[in-house]
Amino acid sequence: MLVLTRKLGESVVIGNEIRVTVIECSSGIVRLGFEAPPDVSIYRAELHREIAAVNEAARSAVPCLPPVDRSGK
Amino acid sequence: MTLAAIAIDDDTSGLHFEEGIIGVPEARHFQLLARPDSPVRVLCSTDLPGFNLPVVDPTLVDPDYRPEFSQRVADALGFDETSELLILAVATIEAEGPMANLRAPIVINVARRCGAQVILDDRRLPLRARLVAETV
Repeated sequence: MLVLTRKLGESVVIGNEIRVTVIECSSGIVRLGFEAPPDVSIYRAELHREIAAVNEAARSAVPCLPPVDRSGK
Repeated sequence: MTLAAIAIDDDTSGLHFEEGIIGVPEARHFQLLARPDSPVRVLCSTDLPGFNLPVVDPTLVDPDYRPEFSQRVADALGFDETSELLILAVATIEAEGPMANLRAPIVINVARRCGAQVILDDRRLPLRARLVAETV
């Protein structure tokens, strides 16, 4: 992992099109601003974890399935 | 929800998920199994035996569900506005009943037989949207 130190108002550029700026920093909380093309998805890592947890819950709910017939028809 | 009797979908040639499923990147090859009398289909991993993900048609939850995908997703799966897409929602059983994940649908480009689980930008979409009881 690349670790960079930034001060308030300073930025990091990722590739040519993504800029992350430190907007606010107080009592252990950092606010970040993101500038990126519209097709770049930006979301909190918790969302990724939550979706993975939903997937895990979903698969756990499937009872024992018959073996998949891999021979085709 | 019982899946004791499962019929194989029309096409058994398999589906390729280049990036796997969220949280399970190693699950990249699937068959979509269906049972004639159930709206629940199952994405069965062919490279991770036992990884079976129940999925439903998300329009069972919201008839107006029309997710918008970024160009990045369209490019990755090789589709455009004329392509036939199969959109599925991962189904879970919660204490309150069956739920469907509308925030991170499974998108399949039917012609290319490739797919991905996509996180949509719309924060209003729930990870657990209630499925009406009689549909499952």
